[in-house]
Amino acid sequence: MTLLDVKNLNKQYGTGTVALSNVNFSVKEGEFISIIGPSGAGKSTLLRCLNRMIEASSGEITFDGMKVLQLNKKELRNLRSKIGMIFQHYNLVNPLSVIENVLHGRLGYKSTMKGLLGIYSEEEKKGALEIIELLGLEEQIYKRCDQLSGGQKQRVGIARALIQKPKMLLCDEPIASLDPNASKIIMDYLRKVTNEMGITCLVNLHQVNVALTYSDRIIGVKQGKIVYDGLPQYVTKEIIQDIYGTESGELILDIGGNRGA
Amino acid sequence: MGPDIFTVRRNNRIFFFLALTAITVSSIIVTEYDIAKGFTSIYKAITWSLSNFYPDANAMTRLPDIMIKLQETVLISIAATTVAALCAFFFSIFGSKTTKVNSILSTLSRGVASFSRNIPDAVWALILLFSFGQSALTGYFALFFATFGFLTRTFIETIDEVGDSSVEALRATGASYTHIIAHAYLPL
Repeated sequence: MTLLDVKNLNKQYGTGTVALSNVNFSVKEGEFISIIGPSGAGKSTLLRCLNRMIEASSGEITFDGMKVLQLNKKELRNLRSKIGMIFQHYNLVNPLSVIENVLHGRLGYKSTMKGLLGIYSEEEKKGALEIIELLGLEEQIYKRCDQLSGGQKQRVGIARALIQKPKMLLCDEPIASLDPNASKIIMDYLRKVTNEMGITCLVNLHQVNVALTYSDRIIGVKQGKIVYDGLPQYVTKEIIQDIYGTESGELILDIGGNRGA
Repeated sequence: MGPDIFTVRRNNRIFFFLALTAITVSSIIVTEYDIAKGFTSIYKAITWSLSNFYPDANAMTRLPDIMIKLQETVLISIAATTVAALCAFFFSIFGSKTTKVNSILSTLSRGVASFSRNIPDAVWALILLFSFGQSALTGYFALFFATFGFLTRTFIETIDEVGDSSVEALRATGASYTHIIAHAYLPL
């Protein structure tokens, strides 16, 4: 079943840079898709247009039957509560504890008063605890987030997204600030989320190898256009060179080396 | 390539030093300040203040009076600071670039805060003294305006420093504006 459908999406910043031009793709429920492409190609803009953190200039986005670009304020909150988001710099509220940060994921469902005072139901707290245990953070549950390592912070980020009970996760460079070890842990969790909970994942990645290993599908973006959309098996050297330019050389061309997830 | 950056720096320093000297010299001339006398009077000033500010028997008799006024001052300053902090909170929320509701309100809030901060509290005290006479209310307002301006600027800077990263995350979960203020900024 199609969960997300993007048609003729365009984004221009002011009168200057064209970030996205005529982007078309659709996502099926339960797919794990990596978006690769050079810095400034429009990957982040693309992700943020999907939940309207950035307003698209024109086009059509359908998510779970909702016309995303026509939603009013209240409907938009409802849409966002169904889409979890994970960031490169984790974007946690640092002075707060892990559990408080995780519970922030419920704010999209709250009335003004309850959200303002931070009143969470017993059920929500239990849910938060379960997710925290699932991500192996039970020892850190009352720690302030600025005392955590990068990998732990990103797991809090994932927990905050999961407690939304989302249909889709948007991950903007989730492992770009992490060491290889933590990166693997985070990618394994994201893959697990898709496999076991059936949550669709859309991940921006700089690591081509990682993208090829973990994804069901690869979308290659270059200068605001989709230049590749297909299975990771069919990504060849030529395609990578087309996306990243011929300068990319040997560094990222180690494809086919560690495949098989 | 422009001129050598080190030469530019040196020239800037020399220019700054010369300008400072010129301002100093001209103010000495305007105020008819006698440099030698200024330095020799330091000793006299110290003896004068020691002999005049030293509490004697006369002062002790006035102590109860002073204590009452002192207590009043402490209470006034606590009240003024509390109310000022509350007002400063709202003004900083409206004034900060990351949390502003709209640009007009933001500029207005910043303007009010700058205005009340950049006038020293002594000047506030004088202005209010002429308008309200010498009373507790005058003191209260003087402290209020100075503290309010100062706190608003500080709060705005704190909010700006947090940046919009956690705000972005909360916005993405579907949190509303009030939720974001309450959960991303109040914990500071």
